[in-house]
Amino acid sequence: MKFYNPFLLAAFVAAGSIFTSCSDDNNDGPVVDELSVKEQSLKNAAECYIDNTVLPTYGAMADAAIELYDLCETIQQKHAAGTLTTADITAAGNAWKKSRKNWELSEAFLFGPATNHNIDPHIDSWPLDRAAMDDLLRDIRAGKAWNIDNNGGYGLLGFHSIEYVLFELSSDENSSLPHSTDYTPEELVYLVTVAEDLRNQCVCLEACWAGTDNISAEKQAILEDADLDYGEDYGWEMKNARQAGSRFKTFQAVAEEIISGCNTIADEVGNTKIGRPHQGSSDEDKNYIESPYSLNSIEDFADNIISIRNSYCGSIAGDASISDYVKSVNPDLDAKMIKAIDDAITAIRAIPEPFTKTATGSEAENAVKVVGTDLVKVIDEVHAEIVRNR
Amino acid sequence: MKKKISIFVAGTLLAAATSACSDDDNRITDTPDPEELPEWYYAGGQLGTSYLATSDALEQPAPAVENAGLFRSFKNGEALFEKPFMTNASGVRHGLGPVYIRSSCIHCHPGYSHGKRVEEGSFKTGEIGNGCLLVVYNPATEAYVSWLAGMPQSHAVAPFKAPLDESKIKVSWLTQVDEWGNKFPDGETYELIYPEVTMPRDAIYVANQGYELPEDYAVKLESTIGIYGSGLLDAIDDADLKAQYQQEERDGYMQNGLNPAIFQNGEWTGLYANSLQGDGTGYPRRFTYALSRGPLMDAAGANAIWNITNVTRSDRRYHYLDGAGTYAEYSSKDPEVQAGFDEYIARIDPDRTHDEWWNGSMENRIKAYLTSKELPVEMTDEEYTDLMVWHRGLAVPAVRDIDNPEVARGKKLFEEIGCAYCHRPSWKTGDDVVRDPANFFRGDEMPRYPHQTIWPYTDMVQHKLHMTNDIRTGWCRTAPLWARGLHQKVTGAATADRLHDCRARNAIEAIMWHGVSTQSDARHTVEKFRNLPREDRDAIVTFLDAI
Repeated sequence: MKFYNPFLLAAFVAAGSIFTSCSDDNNDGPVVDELSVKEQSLKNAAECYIDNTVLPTYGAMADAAIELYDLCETIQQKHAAGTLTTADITAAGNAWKKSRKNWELSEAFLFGPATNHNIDPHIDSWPLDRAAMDDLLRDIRAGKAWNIDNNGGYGLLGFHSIEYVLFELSSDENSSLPHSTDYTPEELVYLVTVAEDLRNQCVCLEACWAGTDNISAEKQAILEDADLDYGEDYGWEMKNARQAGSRFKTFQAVAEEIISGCNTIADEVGNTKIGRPHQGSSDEDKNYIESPYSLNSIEDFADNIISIRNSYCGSIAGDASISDYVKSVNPDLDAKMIKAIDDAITAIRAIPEPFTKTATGSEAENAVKVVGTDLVKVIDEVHAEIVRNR
Repeated sequence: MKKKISIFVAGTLLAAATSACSDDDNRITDTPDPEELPEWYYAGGQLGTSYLATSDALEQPAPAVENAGLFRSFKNGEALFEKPFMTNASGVRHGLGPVYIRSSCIHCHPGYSHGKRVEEGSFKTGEIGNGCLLVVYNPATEAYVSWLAGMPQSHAVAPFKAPLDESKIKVSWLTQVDEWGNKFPDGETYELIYPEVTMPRDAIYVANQGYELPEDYAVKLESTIGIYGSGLLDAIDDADLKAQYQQEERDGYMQNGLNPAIFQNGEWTGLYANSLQGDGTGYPRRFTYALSRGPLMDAAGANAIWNITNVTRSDRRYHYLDGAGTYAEYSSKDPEVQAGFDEYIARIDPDRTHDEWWNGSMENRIKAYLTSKELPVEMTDEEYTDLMVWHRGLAVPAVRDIDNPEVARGKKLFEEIGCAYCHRPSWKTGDDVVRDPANFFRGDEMPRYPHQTIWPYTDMVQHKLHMTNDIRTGWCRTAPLWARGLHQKVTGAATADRLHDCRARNAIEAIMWHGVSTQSDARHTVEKFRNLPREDRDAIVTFLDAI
């Protein structure tokens, strides 16, 4: 990421404005609650961002994680009874995909609770620590005391651990299949434990943004059982910048954080998720692929960029958004940003699956540039526009 | 970078010229003219400053990274820093163990800051956030004990067992009341707390296995410090560093003098050298609280990526274990370790390339493995280089709230009452010829910061504060203050977590700890601080949080 010196930029633009300003119809006088026009605009954007983008995304992710846990329990019970079928594994796999999709759609807002409470590394670390998993399954089999965080890290937790148990590759490695039904009982003890942990973390993430009081009774009970509650309402803090109890001094600071989150994921998708397997020279670079068993990489990347679009433009037609503000002060930049987002999604979707085999191709090469360079640059410009005093 | 800005500005100017019809001149008069911005706004100079004040503020590449075309390398290094290593014997980020301190760098550097303050209770290192290491030392000699690694490990890969059982270690926080009753003359109060660590003998693996501890021991907490900007500090010329020591020695203001193990009578007395990997050339010490390290390329980060994880690399094909060899000795005799070793070693050495790990008595096989100097290389040279490009390339954020007059006023007061003597505001970097005492890096593969005016607020020299339960030896390098005010923003921590063990929950506590002892080198300045009117004290705090 390369954020420009806002003051350097402002002075040049100020100089430009002196010559070109042709209207003063947008005075910056005090408005309701003594917010400037800019602060009011970004306040409106923050409210829609929380209510219509962040909370529905995390809510849906948690809902699907609850469903996933229940279906993993079903797998374990049916396996014990000898009645497990591929359809049961497919059903759990679908719930996994649903929860995972919402996670990908949330990756533009990894700042705040997902990072501060380590929920991101907790549920999304990869690759799976296979060696530690073998040791763990041996301990379970031997009836020893064990827990899933006993490797002192995050290698046995989260989406990718569950993915490994629910999916497998076809023999030509071109497609993802439901895992075979020949599990050991220990593997399913592990599956259910990790699915429960994932469920708890997803519900916790929703609670941190919504406030624990504002999630469903079922979810509140889950957190109580798990003894997992940070007593945080980050969404309230973003919607109530400038007030006591909020860590945001201004709505501009809220918008900066949102745009910084967009920048981080655009950079990661372009330069790491696609860029590393595309450009790297080592075997590890080429294997630097996050979901190797479910083979959903391309759609995951596209969802990451949609997460940027939702953050910038809003998720629902008519949402107040940062885009509205940028459009009001710099319509060309707003149009450029929207186009850069669309171009990024198009470039990503042009890469054929499975990404494990197409990462070195020309489509991926184009996507690295369009996402990792072009989109990142425009997001930087949007950041500079937001930081500029108006 | 400069070029890029120019191009971008031109583009924006054009956009403004063609379409900005709603701009009102009056609304931008608050924006400082870059001509008028004080030099100290650019904390890392032109080549080392980033311009972001969000929770990602400490994670940005310096312009020097872009200038050198090292962005991709920087990104790869960033991933190595952020993501956990795995105990797998192959694949992405493999090689963790057999014993380790943390599974990733970010465990101790949440948000790229120093760690968060450890809560009362047990000492947990499994989660990201706790940036403290345990300092286990002999209280009589103040030397680290030899029967634990200097940075002790509390995790192990089966069948090996952790050298320390951290669940048995307890941290408690005690209250300190200073001679002023924790109260300023105008009645404002503050609280001071400090940590105390207890580690029973049965937390120590080798002791449980029959090893007789040869000495008494005590335990302290020592937090990591920020990692951004260390490339800029590395770029300070040796001669300028020496001049600072000479000046302080001549001035004689410090009642504790200078650390004689580092500098005396106008000359260095203890240089940093690496004779194992390098040629033993001596370099002035500049990094870590204890000044245990010289140039950055062979300093704490270069060491940590190996010793925290025990991930080997081509220049260190051996494990980080205790100096006395107790861990290898007692592990090799442990029947439970012996029972699992065949399976373990089959994973590490599937092609049976090391006879001594496969043949002979089980005890000798285990010992041969643990003490081997020819372990498989787990981190490639390219990865290690990427990590160091990232490390040396991390920018320092520009000063925040630069247009708040209280910030400038706080700076003036900070200088007037004497804080700035040790927290030296500014340095000019030298030619920045990158040196590596370990002779791994040539230097030209790194981002560089020649001739930059930087604002770290440290003299790079050790002083003594004589705090209760102080840092081991009492000598502590003056911490750079740049960007410390962003700690809570980037980590979400409830407190500011300042000082070497994060004992200060806000800047006032940090300042007042400097004056708790009459023997402190900062005592005189703290007396001045406490007699300032409240609004002046607050201005200094505002300044500290802004820089």
